[in-house]
Amino acid sequence: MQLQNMLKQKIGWLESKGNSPGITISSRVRLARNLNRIPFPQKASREEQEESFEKIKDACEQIAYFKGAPILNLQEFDRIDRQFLLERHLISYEHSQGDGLRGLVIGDKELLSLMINEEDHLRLQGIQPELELQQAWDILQQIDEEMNKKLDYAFSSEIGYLTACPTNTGTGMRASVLMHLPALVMNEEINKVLQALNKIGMVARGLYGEGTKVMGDLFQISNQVTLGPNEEGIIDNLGRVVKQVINYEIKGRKALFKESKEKVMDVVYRAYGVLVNARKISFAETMEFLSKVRLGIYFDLELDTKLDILNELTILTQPAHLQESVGKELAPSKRDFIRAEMIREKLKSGK
Amino acid sequence: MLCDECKKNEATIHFTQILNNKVTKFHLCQECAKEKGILFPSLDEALFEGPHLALASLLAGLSDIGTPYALEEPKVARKCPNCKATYDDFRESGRLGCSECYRTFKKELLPLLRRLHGSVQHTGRVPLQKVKVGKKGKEVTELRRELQKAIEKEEYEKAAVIRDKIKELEKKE
Repeated sequence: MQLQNMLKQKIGWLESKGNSPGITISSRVRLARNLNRIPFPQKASREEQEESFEKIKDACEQIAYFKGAPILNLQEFDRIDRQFLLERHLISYEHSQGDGLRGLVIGDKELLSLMINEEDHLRLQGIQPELELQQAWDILQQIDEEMNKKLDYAFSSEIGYLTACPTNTGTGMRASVLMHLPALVMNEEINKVLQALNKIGMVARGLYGEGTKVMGDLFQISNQVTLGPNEEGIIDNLGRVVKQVINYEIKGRKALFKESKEKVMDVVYRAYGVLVNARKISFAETMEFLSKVRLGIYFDLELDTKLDILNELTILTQPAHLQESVGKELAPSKRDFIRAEMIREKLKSGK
Repeated sequence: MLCDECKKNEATIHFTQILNNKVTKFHLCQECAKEKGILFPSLDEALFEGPHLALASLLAGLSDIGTPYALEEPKVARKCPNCKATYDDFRESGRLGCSECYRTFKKELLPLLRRLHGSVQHTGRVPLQKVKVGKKGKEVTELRRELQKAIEKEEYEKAAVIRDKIKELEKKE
């Protein structure tokens, strides 16, 4: 376990600007890029993996933005460290599990990161707080251009950037927004919304991206189509759809509060009661109750906490984060005690 | 201004189409623009009007990897000369072996890309320089950058000329 000092670092995309009522949490844009002719990481031999790793590492070292940025070789990190990076949304689930020579470059405040030898040679990611897709894209395209000065990208003038999986071919761009949709879950409209998203070329995923579970009513909504529309088009379209989803969620919240105010208040205060009093709590439960308290803040209910603290808890109570914070591996049941203690303290001190 | 199509509603969508050196300006209302497939369908419509959208039927059921490759396809004997991957390798793993695989399996991949994305024409960013490509490829890449710039500046006549040059070069390939 070597990443404890990262616990003290500020996560830039959690710094809420207070512009939104907490329905959109963060905006992310990622680009998939590959080096021309070198086999994609899954197919590459050890030597070929080293070749792409070194080339990309060299490129990063020459870019001003990444000056002093840590370049990690994931092989040197244990299971808990890798999960910790996944929990901070710096790497994908696949990258945390896979073997072979894999890397991660972490930019300032974790607003920009770069995975080396994931499914593609290069995955660049930009994250911003709330609904700021355009800003995330603006920064990302500059870095992409800088990297491109040093690297020969695999590209076809017909079908665009060439990626290991054809679902990313073209722009190689996946833009996504992490959304908190408790009202749509409560009024059971969520499945209709998710199906509708599918119909217009969007998809909703769980908290940690592809193939992961939805927890705490948090959904990642992203584009599916990467070939055809250009980057600006993808971002505009996603932004527009997210705004529509925000409207549904707000409508749902208003209806809930109008029709069953007492019931909603009960759910919120019970959740808060558990969080401030529990002595043992799992991560899934934590997420469920944090979601309800977030909703309570939206309704201006009298709660002795604020959104920033809830955001912080969402990150810090994750299993690997807890283990990093105590500096040792813990059995799940033991973690649940420490988690409850941490939540009580944060809620008490952060009023 | 009234819509060119229905001549009833106020035109709110204005755009310029350039086809074979001919510039046509369109002024359409929301309804007609949607019918012509110019506007992206909105989430509201997908929610309330049922699955009549072309893109919808294309993408329904393709939400995650797996389904598109399960289709019965004839055996492909070719091997990628660069990484030695076969099309069966791709069918099994869902991942191609290297950038050259796109050339080797172009015939098989184009219909798949069309099913996945509804298009097989990239219109987005273009890399700065293509180091190892032939003269013609380099020229096309540069022209595409120019094309993109022209479109951004809304210089459509210039864009059309560049586009036709690209087509000409690609025909020769």
